[in-house]
Amino acid sequence: MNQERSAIEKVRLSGGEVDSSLTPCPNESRFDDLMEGFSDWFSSILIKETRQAVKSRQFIWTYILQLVLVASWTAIGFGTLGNQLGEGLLTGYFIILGFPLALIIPFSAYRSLSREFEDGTIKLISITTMKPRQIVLGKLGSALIQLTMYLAVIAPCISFTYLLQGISIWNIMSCLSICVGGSIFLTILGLFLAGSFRSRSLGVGVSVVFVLVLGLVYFGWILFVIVSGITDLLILSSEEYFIFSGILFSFSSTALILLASVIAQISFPSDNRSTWVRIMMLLQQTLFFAWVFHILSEEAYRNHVPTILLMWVGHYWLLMGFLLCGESSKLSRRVRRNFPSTLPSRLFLSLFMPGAGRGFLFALANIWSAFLIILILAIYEKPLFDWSWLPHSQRPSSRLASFSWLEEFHSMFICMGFVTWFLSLVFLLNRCILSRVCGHLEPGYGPVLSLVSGTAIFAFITVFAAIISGVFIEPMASAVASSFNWYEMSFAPIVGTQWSIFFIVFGIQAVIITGWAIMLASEDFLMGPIATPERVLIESKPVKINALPVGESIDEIFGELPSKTTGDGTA
Amino acid sequence: MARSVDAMIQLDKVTRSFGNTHAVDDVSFHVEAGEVLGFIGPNGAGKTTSMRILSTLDTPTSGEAWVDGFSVVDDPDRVRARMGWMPDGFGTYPNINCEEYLDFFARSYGLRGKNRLRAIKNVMGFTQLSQLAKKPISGLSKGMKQRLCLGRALIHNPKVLILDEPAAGLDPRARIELREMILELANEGKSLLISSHILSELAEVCDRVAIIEMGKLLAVGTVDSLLNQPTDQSSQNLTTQVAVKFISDLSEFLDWIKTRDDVEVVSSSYDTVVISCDANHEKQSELLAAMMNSKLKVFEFKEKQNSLEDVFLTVTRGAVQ
Repeated sequence: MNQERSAIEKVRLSGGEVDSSLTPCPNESRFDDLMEGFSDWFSSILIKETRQAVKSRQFIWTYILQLVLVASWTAIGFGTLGNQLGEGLLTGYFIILGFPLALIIPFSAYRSLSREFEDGTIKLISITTMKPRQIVLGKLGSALIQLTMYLAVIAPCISFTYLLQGISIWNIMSCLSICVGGSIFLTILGLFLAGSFRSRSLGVGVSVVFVLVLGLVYFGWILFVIVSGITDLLILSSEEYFIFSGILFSFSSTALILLASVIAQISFPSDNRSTWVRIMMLLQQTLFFAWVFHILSEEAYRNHVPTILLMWVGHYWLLMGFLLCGESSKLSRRVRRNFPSTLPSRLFLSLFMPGAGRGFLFALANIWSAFLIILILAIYEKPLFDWSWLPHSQRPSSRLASFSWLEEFHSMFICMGFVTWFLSLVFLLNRCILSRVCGHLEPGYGPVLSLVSGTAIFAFITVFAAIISGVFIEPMASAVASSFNWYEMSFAPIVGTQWSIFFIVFGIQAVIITGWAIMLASEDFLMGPIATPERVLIESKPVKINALPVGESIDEIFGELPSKTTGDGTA
Repeated sequence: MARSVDAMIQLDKVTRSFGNTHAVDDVSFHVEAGEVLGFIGPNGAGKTTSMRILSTLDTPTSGEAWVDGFSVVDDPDRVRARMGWMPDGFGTYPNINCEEYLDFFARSYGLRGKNRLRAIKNVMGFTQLSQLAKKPISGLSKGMKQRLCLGRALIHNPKVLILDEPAAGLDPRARIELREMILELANEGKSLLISSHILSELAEVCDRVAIIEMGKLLAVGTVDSLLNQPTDQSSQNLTTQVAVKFISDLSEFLDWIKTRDDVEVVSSSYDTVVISCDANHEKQSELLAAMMNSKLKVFEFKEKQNSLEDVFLTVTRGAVQ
């Protein structure tokens, strides 16, 4: 028999209470107790990640390096910069701050998630009651805490430069906003890459590429700060302002899509992985039109502008539509339980539910909505934007008078027709061929396969049509080939018999293919909800406020464990 | 097989395919409340895949699996709240100690405030890790890590525990302690599904055993029922093996055996001969009497008991082709 008693015996012999010497981390003060309670408000992954990050050598060394560099630059600046002291110091500080924000934090976030996959710890987290959203946001939150800590080092120095000549609060805030916003975007990009490329071998290559990209971004930041000059930064002309606001919209909405995508990637296969991604796509499109609206309040439509806008939206929805068409049509019962039940709600909300058919219709609905929005903006441009606040001399003069309305409408309609046709082709390819041939593949590969095959079809048809139409000398043959060239048909004016050729060669088959695709997709679209199992309904009923997932108190739980047994070992 | 109301774990015709390979093929079994089911099979038999499905890490290609009445596919959140999983590999986090590790998982399972602290304290006491609370995980031995992993699986007090090779790589003392913990947990009414290659360990803790090979379930039954089933070809012809110990000369004993048609020598050492003879106890008593009459000084005549290893080897050897 062992001389040393086992833990179970120790607990048993302690007469129902765990020996105080065995208690982990007795809190030393009321402050600790307070903080312990306060920590319950935060995500577990945020606490763990922050604990790990601040204890890591990488953080400590970067932190010390930043302190040393800031101190050194301040000393050097005072000695050498003379009249340019304020701008020079601030430029240096932002270059120093850029290093952890552009390189260290995004790469740490990337490694943090990719390591979970490599070490298999993601499985341990996945089987807790934590949601994938909490996992990803926890990691992002930890990155933000590190970002705050790096900022804290440099904040007093940056504040000091405000007292120096030539530095305004606008200079400081605009530069800080770009720094912090850029860092958050890169961190989300890192998390997205880690979630997308999970295998160790692929991960090494992605790590190298990501580091190179981050290095380039940091180099670009240095150039931007030095060349543009801190004091001139973000003092924008009207045109630059629109470009800047467009970039801001694009990056912020793309960050949201990437975030929704990485959450979807680590979700359980039977989860609804699509709805949030679709909502973010819709949000991105909405932001795009808000931006267009903003531009139109200052500038009038000109020829081809509506078609160019549609072309831009069309490419976006082709890319997203190809991915959506690759989703598996087999839905888990869990997802189907949450389907909208009434017909009106089904008509709108079904578009947000997972599945290839609904994805195809979602893309179509969005692209045709875009068409309508641009059309309405074109029709009601003058009453909407009368520029009454501007002096007459400054109001845009070129309006609908110079706007070739009928031609523009034709271009827009043809543009829409091509996008619809390409999406229908890829949807049918997925539904009739790929889902049968590659049905054994994991569901996650479907969208990727669909994207690759869709892009290949699109590129082949467009390039082949362009080449062939140039090769044929005979006008009829050339016109037939041109009928499949999206760009040429949208922008080059169609004249004479070319309309008939286009209608016969492209129009008829496009209508048939689109009709067939919509008919197949509508089967998915009209799918209704299924009943929730009784066992789930029973558990869902009691509204018991308890942190424990099993609905039992901790006393009940550990009253059953050996720690509460009596001294003689009997329960 | 319909879903059993009482079963804490149930698999019904579960199949998991990777391309044309069936890692798990039409497997059905159940585990009752407070029952310990040993899950045994050679490497690549489909044990871990089945356990991954039950742990809501994978989904079956076809079939159904439930934990405490909830489908692992349709209600994984509810299953997770009721289930603790201990994998065969142990993923560690850098820059984190044992207490922080358990604290993280306690928070992840929704334990808050004093409940969380008490859960950590109790689990540390139960797994004998209290004195290692501040030790970094990277510095723990294999046995300590296994205990920590068990502690993690227990932190939210699940009704069901799924342990994948919990005793692998442990020294005998750590194995005994682990066995003690498993028995304590079973006594508390938890349902346990344990896979292991150390079959003698399983025989001591399991109420029933399920044997799987190449994805197919070959046998399920109580340990006793499996031990009592025939283990070799000769047994199926109603013969059994008997170990005879004697103080006579070995050659004299072997010569006597040769005179009999109903007995065959299986193996022999200087004082023990294992013979194959009729399984009928009356026939065996006649054989013993014949030995005594022939002046052979026999002091032990014992029918050989099957071990779980014997059952495992018999059931799995080429049974699935």
